[in-house]
Amino acid sequence: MAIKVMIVDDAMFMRNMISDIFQGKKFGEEDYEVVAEAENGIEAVEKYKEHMPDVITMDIVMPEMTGIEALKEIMQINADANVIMCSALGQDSLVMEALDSGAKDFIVKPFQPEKVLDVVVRILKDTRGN
Amino acid sequence: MDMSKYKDLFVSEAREHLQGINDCILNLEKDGQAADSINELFRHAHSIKGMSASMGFGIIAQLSHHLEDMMDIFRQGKAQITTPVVDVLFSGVDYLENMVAAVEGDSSLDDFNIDQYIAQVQSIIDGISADEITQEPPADKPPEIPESDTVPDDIKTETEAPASGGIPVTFKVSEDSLVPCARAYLAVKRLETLGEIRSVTPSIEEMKSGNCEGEVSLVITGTDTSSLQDVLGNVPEMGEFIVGSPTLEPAPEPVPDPAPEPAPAPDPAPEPVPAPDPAPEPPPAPEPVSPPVSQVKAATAGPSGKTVRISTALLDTFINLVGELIVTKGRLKELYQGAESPVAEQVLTRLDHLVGGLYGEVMKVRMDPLDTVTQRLPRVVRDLARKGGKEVSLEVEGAEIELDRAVLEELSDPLIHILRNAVDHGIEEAGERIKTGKSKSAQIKLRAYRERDMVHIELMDDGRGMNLEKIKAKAVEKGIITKNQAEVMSDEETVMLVCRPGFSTAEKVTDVSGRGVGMDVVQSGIESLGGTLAIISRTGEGTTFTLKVPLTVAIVKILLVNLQEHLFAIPITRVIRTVRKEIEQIKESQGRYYLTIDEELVPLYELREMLALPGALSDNQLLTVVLVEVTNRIVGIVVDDISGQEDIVVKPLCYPLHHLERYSGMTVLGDGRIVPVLDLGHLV
Repeated sequence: MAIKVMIVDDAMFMRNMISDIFQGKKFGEEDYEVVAEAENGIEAVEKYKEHMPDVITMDIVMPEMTGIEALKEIMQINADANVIMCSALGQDSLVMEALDSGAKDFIVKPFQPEKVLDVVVRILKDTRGN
Repeated sequence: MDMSKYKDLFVSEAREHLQGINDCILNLEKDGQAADSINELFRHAHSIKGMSASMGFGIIAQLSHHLEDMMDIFRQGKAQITTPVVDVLFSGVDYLENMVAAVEGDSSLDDFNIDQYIAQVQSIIDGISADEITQEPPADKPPEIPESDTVPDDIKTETEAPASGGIPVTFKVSEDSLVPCARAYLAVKRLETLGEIRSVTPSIEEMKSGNCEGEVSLVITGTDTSSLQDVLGNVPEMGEFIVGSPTLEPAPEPVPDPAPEPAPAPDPAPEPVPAPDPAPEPPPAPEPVSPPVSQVKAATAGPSGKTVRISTALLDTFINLVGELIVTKGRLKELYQGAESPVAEQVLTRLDHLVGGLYGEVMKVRMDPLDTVTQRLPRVVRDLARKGGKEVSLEVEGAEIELDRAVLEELSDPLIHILRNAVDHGIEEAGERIKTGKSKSAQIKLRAYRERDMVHIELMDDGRGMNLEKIKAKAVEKGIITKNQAEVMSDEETVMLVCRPGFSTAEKVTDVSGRGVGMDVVQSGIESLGGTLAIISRTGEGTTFTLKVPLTVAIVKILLVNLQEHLFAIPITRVIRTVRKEIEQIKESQGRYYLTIDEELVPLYELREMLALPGALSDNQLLTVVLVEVTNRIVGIVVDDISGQEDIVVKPLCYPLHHLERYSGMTVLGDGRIVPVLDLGHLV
């Protein structure tokens, strides 16, 4: 079994970077596998249903449907979904709105791989208990 | 983390966003309240900010952050976007474009100084905020705290002394946290899952409004200290915390070792300047050095439709190899022709399919939409028009048509040159336009459409049209034509005089195209692609330039013609048709030969004579004539015979053969014969 990760960001640059962070890393015995990438909220919700990933990194500002709207829809599907918001500086209020809407945690651009993994590991420990 | 591998992706994606910003500004120039464009611009600036911060390009992040800030104000509808704002926005894009170019060229970003620019942006923001303050109640009045529906009922927001029975908790978010308020808020929310929070300082509202330092005190009931410690210990970026007794608990180590945090992106508040000056000129862009990178959607997309990026140089190698494969396949077919081997035939048919399929797919990769060239044109026209004090808008139609990248690369300069001519010379001053009953704002329309293997690109302006008498006079003065020739010249021929070498002189080097080219260079550029250029001008109504270019130049269909024992190739895009005529049907006038085709006199050129081979026209009783289009005229090329059509790969002539101007290149046929490809523009 691998930890299924979905990356949502409108910039391919960002998706590649986040995806690389998980490259070759493990949670306990399990590998991380990026099972889906989405470039807007609508795609994110669709791909969530399709793949049911264990962890989702969700950009906030995106075209079509914002990350917060997508988060809300995903919470409707699965209230336990592990959604981590990706925010930029100066988006405190949006981050807090996302936390109110069910986001488990958040990371701030520019991302440091260690911090991203730290947030993911803590959430997985919390929900999987190992 | 090694960021250099992301550089190309960063550059190409940042450019997409910059193009997006450019388009938005152009829209906002027309409608200062266009909410869609404001939102989109905000989003593009935001994306650039995030990407550049991740790459460690602080100055790009800083500039885009300010653009984002400014757009945020307009997004809130506090003010309307006016011309000075548009200018500042454009100048910001120019800065960003230059910085991205510097990144691409591995140049330093240290040479960029954006202080003055940021001061301008700040003064716009301050100006709007100042207006607001005069309209609204003083800001120092304590805001009324609204009953927020997102605040859980069980969190009291007053800051009174801890109630008895609860556990006092104090924590401080790690100092390297970039958004301490949100981090503190997350911690409070997590604690809230354990019990009832009695009081919290700062209040939830203060946290939400960003008004906190990440240091929080609260009292919580219904839980125990160890649970509280567990929860707080598991909050990322948690600094010190005290639960219950005033003993300081060090923050537990994060699960993976945290790396030292770099300084957060600088966010200086520069001194506001009194009024937005004209935008400062951005420094010139350094020449990009790395090869262009192409984003390719893989044909067999994986589960997430992954894309890869490869350099265009590698792509061109693929195309060349496929070309060689096609030629070799042709040779193989010839060898087995008449061998009556059913197996060989089967294999050859299969090979035919495979190579055909490979060619089709590889060509798809080489195609790009015309948009890659036309997307920057509205901005070019806008800048040219402003410089000339004119109002001109450009409408683009058919930008989705896909062409060979090699063709697209050759289209940019000609299009800009034609547009510059149109704006500078074709379009009248506003006053003159109004006098002649035209709208004050001029229109240029770029319309592209596909016709078989050619793409037609029309550029139509609604200006004054060309002055035919002036053109004739200038052409006579420059010695391009004689006075007698001028008198009998048709209007169609007259306008084409502007494409003659030597017609346009003293061509200024402008900062738009970067280099001065005359219409002759435009025309020969188009023709060397195997295309044509036509001009139609109507006095008072405007001028239309029509460029016809082939979809691709990778593999060219050619007509093989025989001349004595030699074989030559003529690109089929030039060929109208071939005819056979008795020698008696040839007319002679002043030493020139003509042929009547569809009641038109078509001048004849003997290939033999042009290539200085021995012989005479009358050597053959039956003449084979290839009718071709050259510089807008139809001419007949007399050859000995037609040998067939073929798909070939044209190899350019390299040193020391590059001076052979009559040939655009060479090709190798399946049987190994080397055939020169005729450059009709240079021959006729």
